[in-house]
Amino acid sequence: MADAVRGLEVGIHEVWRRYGAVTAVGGVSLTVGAGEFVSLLGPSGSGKTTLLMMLAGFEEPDSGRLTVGTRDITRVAPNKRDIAMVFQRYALFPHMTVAENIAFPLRMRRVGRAERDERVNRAIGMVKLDAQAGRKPSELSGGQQQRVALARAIVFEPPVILMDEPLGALDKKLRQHMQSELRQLQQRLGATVIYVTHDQEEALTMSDRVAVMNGGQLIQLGPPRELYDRPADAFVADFIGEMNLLPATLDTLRDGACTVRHAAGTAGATPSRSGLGPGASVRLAVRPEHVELVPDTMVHGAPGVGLRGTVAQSVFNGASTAVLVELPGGDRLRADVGARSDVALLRPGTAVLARWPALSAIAFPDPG
Amino acid sequence: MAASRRGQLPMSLSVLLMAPLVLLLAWAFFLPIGKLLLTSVTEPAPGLENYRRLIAEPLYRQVIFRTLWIALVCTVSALLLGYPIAVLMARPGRVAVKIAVVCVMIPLWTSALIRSYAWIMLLQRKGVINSVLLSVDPGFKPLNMLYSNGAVLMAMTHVLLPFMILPIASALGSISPDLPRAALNLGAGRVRTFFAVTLPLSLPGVFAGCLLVFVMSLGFYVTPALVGGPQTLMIATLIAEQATTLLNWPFAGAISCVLLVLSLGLTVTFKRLLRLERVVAHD
Repeated sequence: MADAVRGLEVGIHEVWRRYGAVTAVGGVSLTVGAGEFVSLLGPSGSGKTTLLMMLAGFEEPDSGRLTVGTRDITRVAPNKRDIAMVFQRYALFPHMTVAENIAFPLRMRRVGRAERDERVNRAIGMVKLDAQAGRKPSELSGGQQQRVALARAIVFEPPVILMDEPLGALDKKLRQHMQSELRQLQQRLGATVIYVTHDQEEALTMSDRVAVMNGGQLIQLGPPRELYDRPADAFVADFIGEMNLLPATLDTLRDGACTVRHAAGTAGATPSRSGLGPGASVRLAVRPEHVELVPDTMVHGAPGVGLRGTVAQSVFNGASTAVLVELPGGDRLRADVGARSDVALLRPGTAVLARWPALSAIAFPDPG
Repeated sequence: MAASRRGQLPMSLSVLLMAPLVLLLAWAFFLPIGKLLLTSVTEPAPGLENYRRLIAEPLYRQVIFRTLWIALVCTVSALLLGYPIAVLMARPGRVAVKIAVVCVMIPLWTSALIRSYAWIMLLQRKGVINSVLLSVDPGFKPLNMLYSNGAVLMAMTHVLLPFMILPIASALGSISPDLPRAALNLGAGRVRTFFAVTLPLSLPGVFAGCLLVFVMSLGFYVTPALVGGPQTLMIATLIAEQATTLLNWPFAGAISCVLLVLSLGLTVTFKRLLRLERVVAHD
C-alpha cells in the first residue's frame, strides 16, 4: 500500500467565494506540494472550511481555479474528484458495519469482491480495529469512530485527503495520541493532506507548513517554526502561541533594529518591515519566554533598557512560572520565568524591570 | 420516597394522575366496544352465526377484499407521491420548502369532510373539470368521474397524504447532511447516494407512514361515503349502514370485530417487520 499511493500537488489559484455581501474567501492562492501536510489555521469565519468545501466539491468558487496534479477540478463533480475527506463528526453510515463503511468507496469504484475484502482488511489493520470490523458505528467509542472514518478515507488510496477538524470531538489526551498516529499514517501513505483546524497547537505539531487565514485572506504560509519566530503581522503573532502585544511608539531606528517607547520605559525590538519611521505608532510583540525579570533596584541610573512595573500575579505551571507584570498605563505583560528563578522576585507587589534581547521582539505597524 | 428516582413521580401519584383518562376510556370507549363485540356472538342467538354470514355472503367478502385492496393502493400511491415531497420538506431554508410545508399542513388542518366535498365539486358531472373541458370543446360529452373506485382512491390518497409525508420528512430531517456528502465524496453519484444512504436511513419513517395510512384507510368513513358509490362500498360504510339504517347491531359488531382484528394484526406485523429491519440495518 505504501508505495502504491503517491500524493499529488494541490493548487488553489486566486479563488473567490462570496455569500451575498460576505466574502468568505477573498482571492486565496496557495500551492500544497505532493505528499505535504499543510494545515489551514484560523478563527471561525476565516474561510478555511469554505476553502476545504470547495476542494471537496460541495461548494463552487465564484472565480479562480483548483487543480490536483495537472488536472483542473474546479467544475468536477465531488464524486469524480478522487479526493477523500474526513469529516468533523466522522459521517459514518449508521446502517453499515465498520467493514461495510470502509468497503463503501471500493464498492462505488466497482472493485472486485476478493480485492475489496483484502484492501478493507488491510485498512482495518492499519487503524487497529480488527476486533470491531463487524460492529455498527454506534457501538464504538469516539476514538474508534475516528479511526473508521480515517480507514474509509485511505482505503481507496486517494492522492489527496482533506480533514475538517477531525480530532475536534475527542478529549485532550486521545487527541494528542491521534495527532501523532495521523501524522505517521500520512507519512507512510505519502498522500497530500490539507488539514483544517482552529487549534494552533495542533497545526504547529502536525504540519509541514501552516497557512494562517483571517477574514477570507491567506495571511501567512510557512513552516511552524517560521510562523512562531517571524510572524508576518500582529494577527499571526497573537494567534500563534502566547504573545504580549503592547501599544508603543517607535523611537530610534538603526541598522535594522529599533527602540520603542512605552509609558513604562523603552525597549529594543526589530521592525516587522521597512518604512516604519521614528514617531510611528507600533504594536510591540514579545513572547513571554523571552522576557527576563530583574529587581528594579539593580538597574537604577541605567535608562533605556526595559519596562518598569510591579508583579500583579504569579502562577506556578511546573516547568515555568507565569508572572503577570502590571505596567504604568494599565497594560499587562506576561513573563514565563524558569523554575529556578529568584522566588522573592515573583511575589506580588515587587517592583521589577522587564527586558529582552532586541532580536526577540518585533515592532508591528499599528493596524488602527 | 427513597425508592423513587430523581425526576420520577411516586407510583401512587402516577396512578392518580392517569386515573381520569383511564376511567374515561374504559367507560366511553372500551365498554361500548366490548358490548358491541359481545352482541355479535350473543344475538340474535348465541354462537358465530353473524360471522358465518359475513364469510358466506359474497357481497361482504367482496367488501372486505375491496377495502384491503383500496387501502393498499392508497398506501402505495401516497408513498410514491409523498416521498419526493418529504425530501423537499426535509431540505432546510429554501422558499420552495416553506411552500411545501404549507401545502402539506393546510389540508391536515382542514376537515376531511370539507376536502371530500372539494373533490365532489371538482369531479361531479357539472363540476370544475367537466366545465373546463366543455368550455374548450363545446361538443364534449361530460365524464362520469364521481362515485367510482378512481374517485375514492384519489380523494383518500389526498386526504391521507400528510400522514405519509410527515413521518418520512421527520426521518429524512434527522439524517445528518454530512452523510450524503460523505457518500458523494467517497465516489457515489447522486442516485447511488440516495439508494445506499438516504433511502435506508429513511425507512423507519417510510414504515411508520405506510402503517398510519394503511390502518387509517382500512377504517376510513367520510371520504368513501361521500365520493364513492354502491360499487365502492367499504367496511366502515358497511358498518354504518348496518348500525344506523338497518339497526342490525350484532352484525355491525361482527364486521367491526373483523376490522379491529385486521388493523391490530397489521400493526403488530408491521412492528415485527420494523424491529427485524432494525436488527438488519441499524442495530
